[in-house]
Amino acid sequence: MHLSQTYQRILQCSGFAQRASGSAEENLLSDDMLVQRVADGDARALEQLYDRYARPVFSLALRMLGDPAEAEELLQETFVRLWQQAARYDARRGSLGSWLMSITHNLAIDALRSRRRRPQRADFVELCHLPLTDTDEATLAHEAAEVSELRDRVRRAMAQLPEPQRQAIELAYFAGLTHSEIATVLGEPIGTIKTRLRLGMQKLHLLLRDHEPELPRHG
Amino acid sequence: MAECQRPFDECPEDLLPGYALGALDPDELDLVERHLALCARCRAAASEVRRTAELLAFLPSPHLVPARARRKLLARLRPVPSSSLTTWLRRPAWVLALAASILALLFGWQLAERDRSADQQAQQVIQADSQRRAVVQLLAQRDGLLIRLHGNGPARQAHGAIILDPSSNTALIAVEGLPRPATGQSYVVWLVRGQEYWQAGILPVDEHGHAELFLSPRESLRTFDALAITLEKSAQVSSPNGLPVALASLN
Repeated sequence: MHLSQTYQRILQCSGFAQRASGSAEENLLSDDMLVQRVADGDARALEQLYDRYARPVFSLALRMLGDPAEAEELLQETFVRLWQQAARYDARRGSLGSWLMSITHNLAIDALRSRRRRPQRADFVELCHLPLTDTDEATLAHEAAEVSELRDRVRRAMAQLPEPQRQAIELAYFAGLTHSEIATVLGEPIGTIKTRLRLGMQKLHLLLRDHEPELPRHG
Repeated sequence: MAECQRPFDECPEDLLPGYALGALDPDELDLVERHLALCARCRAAASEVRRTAELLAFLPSPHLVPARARRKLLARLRPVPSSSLTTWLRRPAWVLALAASILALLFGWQLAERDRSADQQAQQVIQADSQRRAVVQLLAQRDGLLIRLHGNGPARQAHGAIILDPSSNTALIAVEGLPRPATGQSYVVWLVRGQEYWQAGILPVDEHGHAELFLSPRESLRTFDALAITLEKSAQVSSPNGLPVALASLN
């Protein structure tokens, strides 16, 4: 019968059947496999990667730019780059997570420098209360598990640095300030800033080296 | 390339953290890049400190992502206005389950009516029950979407629903009470995006006014604003010219 055939078709051909049987094959695909699909023009694969990485990408953009609207734009731009340049991704050079975050960081640095407006000192930026009423729950539910683990680990490592070293690193990385600009902001000699960055990064390397050279690799 | 043979005190090691963090002033950057071109040892050191620096990207406190960002992204992938189906996902699961139950029971009843044979009827009821449970289960998981469909114009009495699965990009349109079109006429289903219409198929109507159509478009259903049904004088039309019969917003 027509009805029965239709139902069978939708149950067999659609994700309904997959979920009904408890097999979410697509959710098990690795980042590398999804990137390959994105390179082939599969928008749904892009959405799955968006689910996994939109949150850390948005959080990084927001931290650096300090403006939710600009951070949204940067989030979109990062994934548009992924859509356009997926074929260029080389898994041998690092994980997709690190690649996406590098794209985000570079875009944010470009934005900061092009508008020639330095944000507040990064460690003073307070972004805990954003007026969000329509949030994307999928990016929360499907965030790559390794992202959360790494976030906690980096946070713990940074907390172990002396405050002046942590401050200098954050001003360099998140605010995009140069040695001389950091020195001006903090009122310290430039040599002091270089020393703080060097000692801070050395200690950070020791604390985080278990995570190097590989960053989170989903699936 | 001749590698650096200079003593280590000439290597700009104190600048490598700043290099990895992107914190060098222009003259420093020039110095470091020229040095790295010649010094394998510093290249390795710079690579190492850069990998550490990259981990800082994961430091910021996590923030919730606005739902509109996904919609805008999808719209940018296809440069036309897109609509969101995500709001449907926030419907309470029990509402979807209830709606699915009603729809599925309707289908089950129709199956039973169509088959006069007791054996066939029993078989169809079992099958309908199985299908009903599958659909209810799936919609209750909030992964399936149910959209009401109301007729107007010549199909004022028509009513139905669209069951949509965004993850597989498939949909089932089911309509009741649809008048059979005159000879040569057809109900045509359109997917609407802004001012543009894509023909999605012909909606066949049986003698009971029941119609179903399975959709599996190439483009993501998320990118369409609405689904429309028109009564056309010919099935071979590239744009809607006939009477509008039903319209369902996908927003």
